[in-house]
Amino acid sequence: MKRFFALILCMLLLISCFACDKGGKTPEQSTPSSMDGKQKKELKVALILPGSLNDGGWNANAYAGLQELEKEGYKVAFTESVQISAIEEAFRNYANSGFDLVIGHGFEFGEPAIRVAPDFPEVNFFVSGKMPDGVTVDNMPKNVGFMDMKEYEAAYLAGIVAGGMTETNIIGYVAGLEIPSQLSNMAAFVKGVEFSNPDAKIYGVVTGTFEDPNKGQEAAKAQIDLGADIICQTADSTGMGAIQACIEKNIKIVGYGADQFEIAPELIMTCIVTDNKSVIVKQAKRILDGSFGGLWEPGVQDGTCFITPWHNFDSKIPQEIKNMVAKATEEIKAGTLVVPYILERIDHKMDN
Amino acid sequence: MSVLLTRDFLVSLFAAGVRMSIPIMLPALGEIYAERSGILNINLEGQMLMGAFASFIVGHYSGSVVLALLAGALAGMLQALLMATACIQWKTQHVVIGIVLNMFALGFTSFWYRVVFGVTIAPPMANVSGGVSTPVPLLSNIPVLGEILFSQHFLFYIAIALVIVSRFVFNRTFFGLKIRSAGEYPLAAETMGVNICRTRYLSMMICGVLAGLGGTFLSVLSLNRFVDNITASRGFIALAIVIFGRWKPLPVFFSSLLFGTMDAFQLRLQSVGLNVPYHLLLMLPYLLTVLVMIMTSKNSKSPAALGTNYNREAMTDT
Repeated sequence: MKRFFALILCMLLLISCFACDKGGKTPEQSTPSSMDGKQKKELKVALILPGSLNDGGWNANAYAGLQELEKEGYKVAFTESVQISAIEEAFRNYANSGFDLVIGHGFEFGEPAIRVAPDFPEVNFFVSGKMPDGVTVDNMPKNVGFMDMKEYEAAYLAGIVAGGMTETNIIGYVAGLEIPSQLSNMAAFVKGVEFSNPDAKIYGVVTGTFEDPNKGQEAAKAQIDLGADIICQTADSTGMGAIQACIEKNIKIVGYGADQFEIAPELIMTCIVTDNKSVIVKQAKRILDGSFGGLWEPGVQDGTCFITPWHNFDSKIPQEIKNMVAKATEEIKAGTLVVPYILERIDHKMDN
Repeated sequence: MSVLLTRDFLVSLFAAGVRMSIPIMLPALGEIYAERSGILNINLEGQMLMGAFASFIVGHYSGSVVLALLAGALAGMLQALLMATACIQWKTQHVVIGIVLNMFALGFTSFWYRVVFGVTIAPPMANVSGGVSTPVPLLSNIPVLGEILFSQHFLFYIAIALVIVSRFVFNRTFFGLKIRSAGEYPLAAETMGVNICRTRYLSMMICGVLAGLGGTFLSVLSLNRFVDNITASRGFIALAIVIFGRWKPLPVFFSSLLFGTMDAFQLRLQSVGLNVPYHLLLMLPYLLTVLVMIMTSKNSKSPAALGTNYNREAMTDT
């Protein structure tokens, strides 16, 4: 009996150590102070992230948006690295603790949000991704908002750059999980490359994970071994490995998620970026002005998705390519160019 | 199809296979020691993670690859000692405590990484001069074979040496016999004067060192950075590899190579766009593992006392 007791105690100790991980972040939420937004102060915003804050992309960028809100006087909280199976629980947890807006940052949060929302009519749920199959604007709960972000429009622009810059006419592409946003990015990137360089081939790999840098590294190395002289990555932590492979072999990179320029200043040409910061800040504002809910479709048009400026590549990218990018951007904004939304693999197929 | 059979493609494939097997091979080799001595060390993943983290911190601040390797080995060993104490001293269920300690390692490393380095877009680098690969003089000049086996990272050569040493230890030394007897029939071994507890502690420490080195390869030597959960379940794959390799160093060595090569093959097939659904390719390495395990399971015997606690006072296994 004594031994059993000791065991329980020991486990509790260990679990509490683990819990520190979450607890360690809470000091950050108790610092809102600015007095400029009295009514904003009422609004409590929670962010649930699918991956780690330190991925230098998708998650890090959203966290930056949350910090922005905090500075403006909102009460904020977040949980990171939430497994798909634990999403619903995380939603319920925040909804129960009186948060006004709970943001699930990714497509995989869609279905749990639809399930949870009817139980908490007072709480607004926002999913940074498309609606799941079978859900339409009409049949979904009123307190759920989705975002069909046209990130692929930015991927198309990045494709134009990569197509114009490749010398071997082979470009590698390292993707993460097989989800619509990743597939449509890859396809749009291929279309962009085709536009500026019809001879170039794209070797794509869906690694099946956003969280395994070593795998991303090897995926990129495989493509480099096959002759790629540019690697485009859209895979968060996995992509961090792809970038490292490029640094080792001195290969040009198209980054993703945030302006990753600092990671490899001499190699990163541009990055496909969604301004997750403004996405998150905007949701809080939409609640305040009552326009929250339904499907929100940001893209290149309203400046939510874009590719980052050239930094060290300013002099290396030919003016002709820059003009093509500028023209395509204008056309997308004007609505005359519609970037195709394709959910199939259209990267290089071996002709056999 | 022709691209698959070119010399360059095959060399790069097998070289990548070897490279990808290193972080599985070392922990799996360590796990042989742990399991042969009777401890089902589910905590392998945690030991790798601790090694990856400690070596990164030390590498980042000292810039020395030797210190980083030492730190990685030490951290892995400490985590293994914790696991060993829980199993041997407190006689907890191996699987349960292993899982709990894995969670602990994940939380611990992620938390302290955050405390030390904060959240940044560009994660800090380890900056050790480990080198991507160290070709062996002469041997690396052998065509094909030299490029695949002898132009690798130095940790691979260490792994080869360790495999040979381990094989010798298990088959030819008294210490190896003690480990095996502790895992087969501890009661009989104890009556013959073998100190079961000490043997199991030692085996776990060896296991921790090897797992820590595997983690060090992932963070400092390969990625040059640390990210949360950098091991990405390689510790669990190593557990399967040990069963697959029937608790023997040489088969475990080749199983790791096979698994690494399948993974490398999968990435390449997808890249060249073979007209096969890539979901199939993604599961290729795992499918192979399952298949071979089914085929080999009949004549594969786990150590008889694996996963049981030895109670000296009661002179029975519990």
